[in-house]
Amino acid sequence: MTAPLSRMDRLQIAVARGLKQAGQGLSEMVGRPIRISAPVVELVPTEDVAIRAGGPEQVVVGIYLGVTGQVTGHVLLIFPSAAARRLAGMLWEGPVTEDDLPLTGEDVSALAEAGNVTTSFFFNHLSDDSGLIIAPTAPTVVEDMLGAVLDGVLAELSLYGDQALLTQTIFSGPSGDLTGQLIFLPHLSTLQTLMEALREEA
Amino acid sequence: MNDHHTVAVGLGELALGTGAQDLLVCYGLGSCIGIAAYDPVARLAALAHVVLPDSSLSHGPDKNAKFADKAVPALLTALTARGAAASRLVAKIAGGAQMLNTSPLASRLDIGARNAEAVKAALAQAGVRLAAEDIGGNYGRTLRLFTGTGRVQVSTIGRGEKDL
Repeated sequence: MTAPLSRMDRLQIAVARGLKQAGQGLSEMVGRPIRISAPVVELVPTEDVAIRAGGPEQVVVGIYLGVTGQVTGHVLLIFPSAAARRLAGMLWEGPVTEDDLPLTGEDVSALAEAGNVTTSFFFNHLSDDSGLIIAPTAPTVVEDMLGAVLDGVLAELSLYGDQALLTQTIFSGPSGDLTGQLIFLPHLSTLQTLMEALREEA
Repeated sequence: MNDHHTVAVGLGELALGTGAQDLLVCYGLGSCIGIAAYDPVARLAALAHVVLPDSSLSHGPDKNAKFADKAVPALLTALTARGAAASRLVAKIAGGAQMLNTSPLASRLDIGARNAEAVKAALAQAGVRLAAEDIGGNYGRTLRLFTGTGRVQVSTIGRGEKDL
């Protein structure tokens, strides 16, 4: 007899499956295999999220989408600047923008589309597993210090509680040149709904 | 700058410079605001990292500099306890940007602008002179406060750096 799964275990399993789908979605887009690390799913103090994601002073490209439906919150894909430029170049099949130049319009569109596809795969899977309606909003692409990219999101999250459920995974291309992370930060009030729904479905 | 003892001031935190070689830093301010306060006579400096405008938004025990209305009094208390005088304090602030300006989050609540407004109101109420500000826009800022001199430097990605 196996021990019953905790709510957190079930969430972790659903998230891991969803992220695998997200990786496949991204992989199909770029035409290369994308590896997804075992995700971290844990409650952390809201103020610590940027530190856990690599440090507030790191320069990154963030692709932000709101999360709407029966589960709400935020989701971000975060890449180091060089990796974001390589990914964008692969996606729109154009030259890779130099690191010291701003992202081009084509880069931004391509990265926004990567955000759409990756998070749609992720939330479709979570929807299937839970029977809940969960969908990302239109993406916003910004390049700046990680702290600046995240602090408005963290401020908004802290209106719901002083802790955040940090769901974080690292994905990487075959030669490690597309390493980035996906961070899903649901509002704690709707996390309960998701956990309950996953219990019924499991 | 390598000779300085760097102290990172995280979200909702407040730090007091304890030596002339201290460098207090708020890294990557987006909608958050760094409030640097300095007493040039007592040569005392402190830095607060404000996240939200008003403590009525609080959910329980919070760090004392998380909300603008609490951060300014906390800053004053920390400095005057060491011998600074409120009347001599000079404040400089940076941050309050709107980073994700096309997202539903931004249209629902422009936290950056509200933070800026609340910080200025709190400084005015406390009678602290606001000497300089670098506020708004849609880009991040790192604020460095050199405690020995009160010098405040703001740096950005791709938009250079300047002294406030």
